[in-house]
Amino acid sequence: MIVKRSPAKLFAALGFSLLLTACGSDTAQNPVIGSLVQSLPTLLSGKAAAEAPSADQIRSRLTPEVRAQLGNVALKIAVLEKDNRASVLIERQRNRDVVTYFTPDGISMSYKSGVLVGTRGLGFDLMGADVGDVLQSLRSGRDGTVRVHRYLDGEDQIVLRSLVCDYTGSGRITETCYSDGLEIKNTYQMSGGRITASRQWIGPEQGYIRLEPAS
Amino acid sequence: MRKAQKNRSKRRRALRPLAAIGGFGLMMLPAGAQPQGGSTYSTYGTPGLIDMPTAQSAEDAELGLSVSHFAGGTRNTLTFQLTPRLSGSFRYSKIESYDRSFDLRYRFLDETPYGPAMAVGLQDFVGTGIYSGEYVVATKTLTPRLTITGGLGWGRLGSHNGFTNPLGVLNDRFETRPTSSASTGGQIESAKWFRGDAAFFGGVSYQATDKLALKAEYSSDAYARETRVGLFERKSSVNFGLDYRLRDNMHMQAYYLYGSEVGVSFNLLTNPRKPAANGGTGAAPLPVKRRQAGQSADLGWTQNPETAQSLRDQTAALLSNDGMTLEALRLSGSTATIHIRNARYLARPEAIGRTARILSQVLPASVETFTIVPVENGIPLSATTLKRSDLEELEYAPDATWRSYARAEISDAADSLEGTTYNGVLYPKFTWSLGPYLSTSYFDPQEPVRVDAGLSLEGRYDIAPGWVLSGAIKQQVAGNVGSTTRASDSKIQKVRSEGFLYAREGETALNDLTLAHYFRPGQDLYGRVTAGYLEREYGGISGEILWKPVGSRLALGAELNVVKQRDFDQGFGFRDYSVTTGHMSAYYDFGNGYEGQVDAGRYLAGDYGATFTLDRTFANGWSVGAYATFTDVSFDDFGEGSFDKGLRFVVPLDHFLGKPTGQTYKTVIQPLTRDGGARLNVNGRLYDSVRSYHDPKLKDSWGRFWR
Repeated sequence: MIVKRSPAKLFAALGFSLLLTACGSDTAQNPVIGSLVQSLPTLLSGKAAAEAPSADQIRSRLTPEVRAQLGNVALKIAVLEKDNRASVLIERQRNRDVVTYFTPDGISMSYKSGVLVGTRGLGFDLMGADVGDVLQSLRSGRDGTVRVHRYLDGEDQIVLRSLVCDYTGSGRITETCYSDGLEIKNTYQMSGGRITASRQWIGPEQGYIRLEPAS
Repeated sequence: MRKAQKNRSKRRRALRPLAAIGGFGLMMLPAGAQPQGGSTYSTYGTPGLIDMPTAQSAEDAELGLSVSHFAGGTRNTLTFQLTPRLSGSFRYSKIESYDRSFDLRYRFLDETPYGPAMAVGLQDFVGTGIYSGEYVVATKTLTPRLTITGGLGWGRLGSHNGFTNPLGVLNDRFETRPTSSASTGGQIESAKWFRGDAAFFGGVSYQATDKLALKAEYSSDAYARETRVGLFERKSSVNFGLDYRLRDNMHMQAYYLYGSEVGVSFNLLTNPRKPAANGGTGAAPLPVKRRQAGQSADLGWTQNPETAQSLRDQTAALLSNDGMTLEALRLSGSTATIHIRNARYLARPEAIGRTARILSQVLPASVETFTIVPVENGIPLSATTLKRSDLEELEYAPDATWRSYARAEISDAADSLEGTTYNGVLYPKFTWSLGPYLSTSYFDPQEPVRVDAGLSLEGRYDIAPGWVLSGAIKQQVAGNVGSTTRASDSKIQKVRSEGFLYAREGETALNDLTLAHYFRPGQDLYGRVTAGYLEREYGGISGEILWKPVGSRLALGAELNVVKQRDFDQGFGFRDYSVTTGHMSAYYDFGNGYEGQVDAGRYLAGDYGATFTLDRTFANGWSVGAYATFTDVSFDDFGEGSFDKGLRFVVPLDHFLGKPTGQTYKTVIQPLTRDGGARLNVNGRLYDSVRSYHDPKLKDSWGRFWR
């Protein structure tokens, strides 16, 4: 049951696979080796690929030419706080009051009138959020508002997390929510009754995401 | 519409050089949140102290692989927490010679603030009995870091400082333990259980830091046999150990045992319920495209014959982006029926959900009903019908998962391909691949692990829907599977026990070459006929019919094969032996992830009998199971092991990579490969591909419909 293999042989075997992965008309047949090879540089160096750009760097790169290339759609900048990784968000779809943005590498974020209601592609994604009362309370400041988050567990079952939230501030609203020994703080920058920037909690694993204007 | 697609693809092209403006995709994921269970593994690879068991269970569904070594003996154990209370272990150990053993443990009492957890266990209860022992044990957590264990052992666990069996009050029979009667091992020797002398054992475990646990125990195992042959000297009954957590799923242990020996062990833990990333990190799906009010009445597009082709092309392109293939599409003014191949999403509802959203992006507004039919090998497996307006309404609705399942209509798809237009590029089509392969052979006492490695050239020709010509040629480059000198000592027809000769003589081998036809004989029925060189050792013809209504927990199947044994060199020739073999099968999904299967019929050696299989399956693609086959070959004629049994695993690669690849690793561990109860291996058996697109499986993973 135990296969003994020296590291040298393992790498030789991987190199060997490297020669073979691209072989065949049905290239989808070898994703196992393909993904091993892809992750090999990371395994070897022990750290992630090149340093990610900061929000300001991205903003400065969004020249009118780049915007035109993107089809002049609405853009935002998002920063995932846990590893301080920033990306441009490109507006892709509207379904009533929900706007869905995509990063260039295929991760999506959905905001309902500025309140985060879903992520896809991060892993441990926010699958959905009931924020109907939150949208009202951001205007009225009513405490004790309930929001319900939905996540997938490891067996692809939907699990719920309910949070009870209080609100302070007016131009810059802080939403403090409590759930099972957990306290989170979302902040919303308001202008003319609309959310222009925010810092919102995705979930226990992914932490907070900041959404900022792109210009 | 076509223009919109052009814009889209231009945008996609434009995005490629935009790495400079970010993206979240390259983030390293945490290596799966692992359990912080209070228990550690013993030298026997079960939750325990050092040599002694505790009443603790591992976290539900945990798979623990342990290697431990002391006094010249090695124990390799795989333990699976079958249910929260019941665990099973398979052990391959070496003392003087190699030995296989199985354990079971059942925790019959949960710990309470005042009372301990209690468990009863059987150690080595079907092997040759070298480790055989039984126990009842209690464990209590005194402080969050300190646990104390005490138990009563029989057999091996009652061999040091034993006293007259207290069960003797029930019946005098309990006071003597009969000696092993069977020569071939493998029989359940319940006559021995809890008989003979009993002895106390016990110990403590202290979690000193988050990573380090200290253990001490009093052992009731006399190690009579090991000390008799001089493997070590048992100077003391007290053992000490420390367990260090290297990573969340990796432990290293060191021991000082019996006052004379130092031992080490290594534990690797996996839990099918805890993938690298819940929901995966695969690319986001396209969102639903909501139609404008009033658009739906416009049927103008149906007048233009070019439109249908253009819609088909756009749909095919977007499906292919998501790792799927358009098999066929049928459009009318208000309905669309789409047939897809899905090689990427093991959570089948994700494939259905993504296809539905793609259709909402592409199809004209008048199309309100989508019927999505997954296809494998040309046969439609089920039809999920969705209302487009439901998709628009539910995408961000509270409880979108349950409501979308409630509104989806899942039905049989037997005739769904009638009148549809196939994707022209699929038939006929030739695909091939060349890649490395590894094949292994386990448990040869001369060399417990043998490996062959080489190149495999595989080809597949899709002639027409449901008609497939395929084959594989293997070229061995290195390996030692064939170099065993242990000839088969089988007393019956040698139908499987000469596999090493196939490995030895088939350096360049035609592994298989078959023509297969897959079809739907009628509603709820699935059929397959395969002819040719079916597998490495047999060629002939194989036919199968499966009955599986789309919402049924029960499936019934029948398979009949007329086969002839192939030459060892795996060319085109045959040996003299031929046989008609086949089974009637019943499959049942008990719910909560437990599935049973019974196959009754005639096996390769012409023996009659039945195979019983129980699997624990997980919605994310994992499956862990065990089977046993009993036939009219007597235990003596069967030889070592008495009857065929084994463990089977399906491990999805997605679990470790955190993103969907659709790849699974399937394996069967047979402690002994002999000739009784042996079955044919034929590709394309129907049940696995059919059930994954049926309820209750679809319902179980519907959480990924919106993923």
